[in-house]
Amino acid sequence: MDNQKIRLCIEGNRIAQKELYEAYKVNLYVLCQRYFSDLEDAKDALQEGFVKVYRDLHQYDEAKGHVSSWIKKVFVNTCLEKLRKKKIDFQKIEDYDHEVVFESGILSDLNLKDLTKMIQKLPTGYRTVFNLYVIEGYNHLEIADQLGISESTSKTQLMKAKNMLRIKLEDVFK
Amino acid sequence: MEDSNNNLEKFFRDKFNQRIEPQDWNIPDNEIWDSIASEINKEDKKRRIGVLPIFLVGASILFSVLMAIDNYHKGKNITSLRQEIKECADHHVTSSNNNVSDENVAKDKVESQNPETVIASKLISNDKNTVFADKHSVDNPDKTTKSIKLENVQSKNSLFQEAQVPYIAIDDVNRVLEKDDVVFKTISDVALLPIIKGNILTDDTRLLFGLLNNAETVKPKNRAKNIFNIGTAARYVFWQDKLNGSFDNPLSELLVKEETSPSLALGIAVFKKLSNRLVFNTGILYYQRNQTSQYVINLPYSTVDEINVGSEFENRFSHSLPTGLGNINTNLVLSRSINSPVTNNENVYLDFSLQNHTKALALPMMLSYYLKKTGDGFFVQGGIFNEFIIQNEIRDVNTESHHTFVKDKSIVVDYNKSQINKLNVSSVVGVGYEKEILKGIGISLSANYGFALTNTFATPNYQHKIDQLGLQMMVVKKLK
Repeated sequence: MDNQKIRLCIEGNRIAQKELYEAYKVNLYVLCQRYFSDLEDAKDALQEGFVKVYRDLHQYDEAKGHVSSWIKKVFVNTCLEKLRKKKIDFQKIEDYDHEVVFESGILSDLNLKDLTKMIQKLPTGYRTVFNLYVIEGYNHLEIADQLGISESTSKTQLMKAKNMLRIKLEDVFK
Repeated sequence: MEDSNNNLEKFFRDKFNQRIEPQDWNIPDNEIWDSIASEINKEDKKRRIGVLPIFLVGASILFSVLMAIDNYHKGKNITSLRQEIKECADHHVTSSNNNVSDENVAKDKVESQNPETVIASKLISNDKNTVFADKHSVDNPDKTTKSIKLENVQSKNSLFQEAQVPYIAIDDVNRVLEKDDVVFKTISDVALLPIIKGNILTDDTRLLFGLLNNAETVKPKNRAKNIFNIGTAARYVFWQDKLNGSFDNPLSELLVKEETSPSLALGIAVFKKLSNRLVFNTGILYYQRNQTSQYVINLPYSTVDEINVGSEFENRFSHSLPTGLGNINTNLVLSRSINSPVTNNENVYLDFSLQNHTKALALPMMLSYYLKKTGDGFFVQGGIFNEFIIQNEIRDVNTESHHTFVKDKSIVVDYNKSQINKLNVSSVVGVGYEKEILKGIGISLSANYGFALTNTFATPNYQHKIDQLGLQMMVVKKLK
């Protein structure tokens, strides 16, 4: 997506806006699905995210990075906003010493859709922290700030999420 | 364990950073895009009406100020009137009850000094037989008018007898008062009771007459049926295009100028008198205007990307040009002969202009404050001017290049009508003069300036507004 197209999108050119939608819809749809277990919620987030992108695109500063990174950030924020409205349930951690070890080699057989489904099955709190930390690359301080939780809660939620994923992965390969 | 952790994280991160195959994900394309497009349209509309609340607040403040000025003048009149009434009443009390001549002196005094008042005693007449007409009797003058007996409670003396030949109580513009409009208790004071034109007697005024209990009430309901004026209006408008922000991508296109030719608007005007000095005027006007947008377009002619069409080469360019009424998308083709000398990326400058022809209806909503009295003399006015765009079309597209190697050029203009702002609002202030030229027919001349409150077209970086200077003449007929 070049600067000319972005400028046209800002000016409200529907053709350019549709092009932007076509260029990013799949990646962003997958992103939304990672945050929501319900498909309808993911579709809503996709729609809301694009509306915000078109509305705020004039704020995008190309000096600060590629437009795709900016759009992704808008979508992550949109998902978090929707999750906040639904009140994320951060489950109490009672036992997080137990770790399941797995053989990394077997993972390569899994495709993206399977992995997304696994993430979707995580409790909302685990899923959100896992997405933000592992895939989006936020640190625990940023996650704590975004979700209004403590850093230690963020860490324990992540650990629990990973443990659950390991168990699920083990089940797949049993 | 640490390795295991890192492996898992790296695995997921890498997987989700891979290229995603669209066929694996079933996105309901049309449904979602339609919803997005619909939401964007709503956002655009919201942005356009964003200044409407500001404008409404402004209009309310203006209205309040004018009403306050009007009330101030009324207050001054009432204060002086109250003083005069008090003087007359004192005079009346000290005079003999039977001294009719003194009473008349007092009445005459009030009348002569307050032309806007009518003395009730005048209505009552010297033989003290006054009636206030039933609505029924006014509507049916042939029927016998029902009379009202009025008594002086304090003295217990009946001052009025049943009227044999009743009078009809009227106000200063000869409208009949209904009996519900005025109820008297102490008849000695009734003789001096003023009925203030277009107003209600206050408690203070009634107190002067000792009439607080069962005191008289002049209801405004009939008096509010005030004069309507209706007539024709002609307005000559000079438009001033105002650009904010920038639309200047020096490498492609530059908006040089937007200007709009003057318009003649014709229509009807309606006036509604609100008080002695304040008039609300509205109406509807139709007009057309032409807006010309001029651009300089700078195109790097690429010999690498040019397309071979027979004995010519072509370069194709697309632009999105803002005009006062929306984005104009252009597809421009420049062609050259094979043998024409040109270097790669040689800049081609084009002068490009297009004209929007607009048809619009206007609905002004104004308040006029007359310095002397309604419909007579100078006035100041303020209000809003609502413009509804009913049609717009592009006319007269011109392109001119200054390069000899350009053999031919063509341009296709595509116009996004959905971007037109259908309603443009301006706040208007002005001055004028009105005079009655024939009985019941007045002429009003005014000049006013409209400050655009809404953009005719806006993007985050570029906004277009259009101010107006209007010279207006209206010929109006009074309707009672």
